[in-house]
Amino acid sequence: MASKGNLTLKSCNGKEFIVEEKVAVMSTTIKNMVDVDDSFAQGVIPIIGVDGKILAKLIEYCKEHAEADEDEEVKSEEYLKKFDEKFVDELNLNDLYDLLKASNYLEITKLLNLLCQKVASMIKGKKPEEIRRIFNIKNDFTPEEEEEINRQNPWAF
Amino acid sequence: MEMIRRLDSCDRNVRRCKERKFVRFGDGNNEIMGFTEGDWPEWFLIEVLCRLPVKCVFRFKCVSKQWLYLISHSSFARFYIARASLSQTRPWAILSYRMNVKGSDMSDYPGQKLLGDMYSDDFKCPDTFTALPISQEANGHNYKIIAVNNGLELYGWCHNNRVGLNHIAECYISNPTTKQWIALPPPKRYFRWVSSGFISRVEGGTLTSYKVVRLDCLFAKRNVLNFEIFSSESGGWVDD
Repeated sequence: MASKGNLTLKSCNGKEFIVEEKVAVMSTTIKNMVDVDDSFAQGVIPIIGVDGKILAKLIEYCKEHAEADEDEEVKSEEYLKKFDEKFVDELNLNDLYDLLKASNYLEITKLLNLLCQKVASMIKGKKPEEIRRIFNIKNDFTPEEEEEINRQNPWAF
Repeated sequence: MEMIRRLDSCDRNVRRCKERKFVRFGDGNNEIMGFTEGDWPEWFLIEVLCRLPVKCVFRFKCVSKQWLYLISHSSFARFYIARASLSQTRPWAILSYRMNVKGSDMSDYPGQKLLGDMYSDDFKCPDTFTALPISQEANGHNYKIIAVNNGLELYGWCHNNRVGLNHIAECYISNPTTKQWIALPPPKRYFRWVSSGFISRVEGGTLTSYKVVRLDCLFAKRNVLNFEIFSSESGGWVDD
């Protein structure tokens, strides 16, 4: 059981993490749970559909940002920016996707923003066929349909 | 008392959930789709696309039917404009190949590059566009994107005869995602070297008011700043 001011989060594969409340409530979903029902604050909060590896990543991110919100001198904006960059650079595509889903579910807006920005920068400047290849998207147009779209937007190519 | 407080906050919580714009985790089929399986959840695709330059978004219409559907949907255009107006920190920028005015700073700045950042991911952003709405009179003339603000673009066509290349004959403000446009009356004054700025107010994804400034860039010679302003409130060009 977590001591006062700490919350216990449990991943879907049974891993438990004890985190400070200020770190956990970076997630609006957890904040709402704790606000509504005090019993969550004492017991274990199950994080459905998020495994231990991803939950550890989420906590790592929230910890840095919660600490920075509290003390701007120790963790400056510049430090956070570097941390964010390194954080997303180290992710492979699968982790990136799992984190996206988890941060959407847990409503960690800052992280969601960061991840969307990361994917946007990955596809910026790429050709449609490159995007299909990277993200394994099936081209479901017939050649005629594709030509018609290109004809409508000649300046986009 | 305690009970009432709890019920109250419960109710607020439910309301908050209903207001969310994102699809909840586990809704529908989203949870089984990953990057490796192809289709992206819609909420996520929209969030990513509205962080890209307009031109990029258009090019991505042909990635798949899902992408085409989302980009062509009228609500996407509103969302895109609303987001662009939120993220824009630059209050006022005048672009040209000669000068950039940012706040009160004046400096040499490759205007095309700044324009490119907002409008296109392609550094060699072509500045002639045939796909934009044009008038009968403009057929055969070159079009130029003059400025971009809140995801809306100011563009015009130039006479390439006696009055010189830089004289805008007609200009328009267009929402490139919907191709809706409004025409502005032709500018009154002729400047040999001109910088133009465009600022707009967007509320809920809809253009509510705007201003266009044309600035004579040869002011250094005479120590006089010549400009004219068009504002949506007055509906006409006003001299300095």
